[in-house]
Amino acid sequence: MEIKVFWQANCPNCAPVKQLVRAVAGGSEVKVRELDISDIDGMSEAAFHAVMGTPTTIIVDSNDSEIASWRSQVPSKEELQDAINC
Amino acid sequence: MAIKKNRDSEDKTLFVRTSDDDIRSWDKKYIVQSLVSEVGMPEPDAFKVATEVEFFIKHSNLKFVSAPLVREITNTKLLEHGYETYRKRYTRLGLPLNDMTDLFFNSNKENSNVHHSSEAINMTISGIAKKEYALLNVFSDDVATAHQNGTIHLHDLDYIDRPYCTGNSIEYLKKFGLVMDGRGNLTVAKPAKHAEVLILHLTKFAAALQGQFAGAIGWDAVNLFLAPYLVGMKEDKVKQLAQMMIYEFAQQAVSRGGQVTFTDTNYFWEVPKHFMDVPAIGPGGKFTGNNYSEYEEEAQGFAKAAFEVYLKGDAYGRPFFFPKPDLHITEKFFKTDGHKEFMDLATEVGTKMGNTYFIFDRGDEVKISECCRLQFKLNETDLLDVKQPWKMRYSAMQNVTVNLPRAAYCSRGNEAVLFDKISQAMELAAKAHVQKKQFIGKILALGSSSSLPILTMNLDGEPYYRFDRASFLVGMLGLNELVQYMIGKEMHETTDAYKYGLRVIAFMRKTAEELGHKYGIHMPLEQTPAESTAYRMAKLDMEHYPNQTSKVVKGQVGTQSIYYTNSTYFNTSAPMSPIDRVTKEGAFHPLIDAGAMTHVWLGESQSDPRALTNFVMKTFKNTMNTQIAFSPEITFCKTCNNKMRGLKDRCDKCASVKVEGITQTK
Ligand SMILES: [Zn+2]
Repeated sequence: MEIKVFWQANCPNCAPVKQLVRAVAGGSEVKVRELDISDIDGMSEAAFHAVMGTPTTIIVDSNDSEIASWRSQVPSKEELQDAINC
Repeated sequence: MAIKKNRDSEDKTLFVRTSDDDIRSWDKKYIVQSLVSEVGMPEPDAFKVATEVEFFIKHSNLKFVSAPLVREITNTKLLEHGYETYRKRYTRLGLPLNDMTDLFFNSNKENSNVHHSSEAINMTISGIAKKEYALLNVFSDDVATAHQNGTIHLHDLDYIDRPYCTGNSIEYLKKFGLVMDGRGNLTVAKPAKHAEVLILHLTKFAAALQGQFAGAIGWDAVNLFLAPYLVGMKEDKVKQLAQMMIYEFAQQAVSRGGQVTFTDTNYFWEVPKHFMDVPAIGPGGKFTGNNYSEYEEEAQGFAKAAFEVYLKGDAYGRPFFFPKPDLHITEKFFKTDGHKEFMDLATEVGTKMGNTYFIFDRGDEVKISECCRLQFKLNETDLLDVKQPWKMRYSAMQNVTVNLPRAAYCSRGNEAVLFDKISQAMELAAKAHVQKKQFIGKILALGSSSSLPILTMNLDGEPYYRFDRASFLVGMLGLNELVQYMIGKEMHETTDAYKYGLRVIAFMRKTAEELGHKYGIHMPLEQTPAESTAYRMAKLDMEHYPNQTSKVVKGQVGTQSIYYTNSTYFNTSAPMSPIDRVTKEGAFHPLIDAGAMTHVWLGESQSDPRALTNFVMKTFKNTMNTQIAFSPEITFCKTCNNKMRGLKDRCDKCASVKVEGITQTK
């Protein structure tokens, strides 16, 4: 399981989401990948997951299939925790 | 230049057939003069070379020499003396006698839009000279070499003296009338008062523009801008006008080189948001006092009529190839009355005849589509034009394609090296763009006496061609083969392969932005139109990198029919469902600003139109795909005019083998 957080500069809600995801995933086995959509990795991952805006948070399984996503939205701590625990 | 000369200082006279239809006696001073004036050679050196040429000719026992022959001999002498730069500038452009004979007696089958004719021969000959000129004198050596060895492909070199393609607005014709030659020397027409006349202005001006651009001529929101002329008109009359417009465009094969004008006509069912509050221009070029939001009904009437004409096809029921109808779908489309029925009609046209291009303008995007897939996304400055739609004239100056498999072969499997190779090729593309920009700039600077007088025509305070607003396209070829070479799988085979493809295009996009900044040009990515580049590059690579190429190239290895997969497409024969293809190919589209598309092949098993309408709607709502078109396969019987689905060898009605298969290339 991996959490991908898509962010970009000048995005007011991006930093809080990154912090939240780090906090929720911290201490667990879940990997966190922060992706700047203006660089090559971020841009290509965003295209792959059809990300249209930031912040977007996507939880994927080991096959890169989506388990849960918050597109151009800020997830709540509880939502994130629930998704990780499932 | 011409020469008549006393051979061996005796009475035998040598004559020269000159380039200006004269026969003169030999005099080497003409060689000296031309070397000094054409290539800037110092006179003593020129004299030395001319003397050697004279010596050679004197001893060759000729009675006549032609100016081209004298030039060839002079070039040989220049080479002997190591004057490579002078030799290059002294080049004569043209074609061998035998090639010309071939043009007359063996018809040209290269371009499917060109029908063999005397006009087409003119076009071919001029193309040869212009292309040679481009490679010698417009582009620097590194750029020309990269084109010739297939690292990049410079498109339309045979029209080096014209920009690539253009998007236009009928509003210009409505407001200013028709100035066919751009100078006003030929008969000038005032703004049209009637719809028929406006349509004739439109088709004639498109043909005139075709003479000043290399590629496609696009027209924005055709049905909406015609609408003020259609008020109160009966349905059958509107239908007749639509028919007239489509036939006028489709049969205009008498203009440039006997070609049909490559035209795109853009349609909207809804009045798009950005035109709602724009004051409408009506008969006589006068503002009607209403905004375009008031003309939805008339615009829809014309759109419906036009698509009905497309559905019917020509006298034999065959599809019209041009003008292409581009149907834009915005969010508002789905909120507009009658959209479902209209979508059914457009889809039926798409699946039966292949005409419809569905263009998806999601969110607040405003796009006008130009050629096969070129789109101009309008930025904030452009959106100011919308208030004065006659200003909406956009262009791409040039298109350069990067050979992606070649970059992979040269990287030996190392990604860092691969990216380096791609970025080197893209830098050459950027340089090519700057060089073409300078060349066209020099032509346009001649103003109304230039060879592009429509582009320099100034009726609204600026030239028709807005030079500083031009885009410079970078295309790509064979992404699928690049991926296959680098990681051993094609893009449809594994997620890793697919993601690798996305990474490469993301890299290209970023690099295009950086190079655009560096060279001061707007350089978006575009999917390269198919044409012959896919074959040309595959053949060159097979010649120079046979081991690598034979691992990934498509087609029949060992024959002439090998090619690379177009642009960012997946293997066309990959076993993918249409929705899977549209979704996965669509993931590339947001990275390719100047236009991308997916075509959906329909063989004999065309499913029911309702299901396909649904498919189009789903594509808009659930994918990032920006444009789709259907490619049905149709066979026509030339004996009984029977029309069949699928590609057939003989007619299923009369058993004739005189059949013609049609699948549209997108
Ligand atoms: Zn038949």
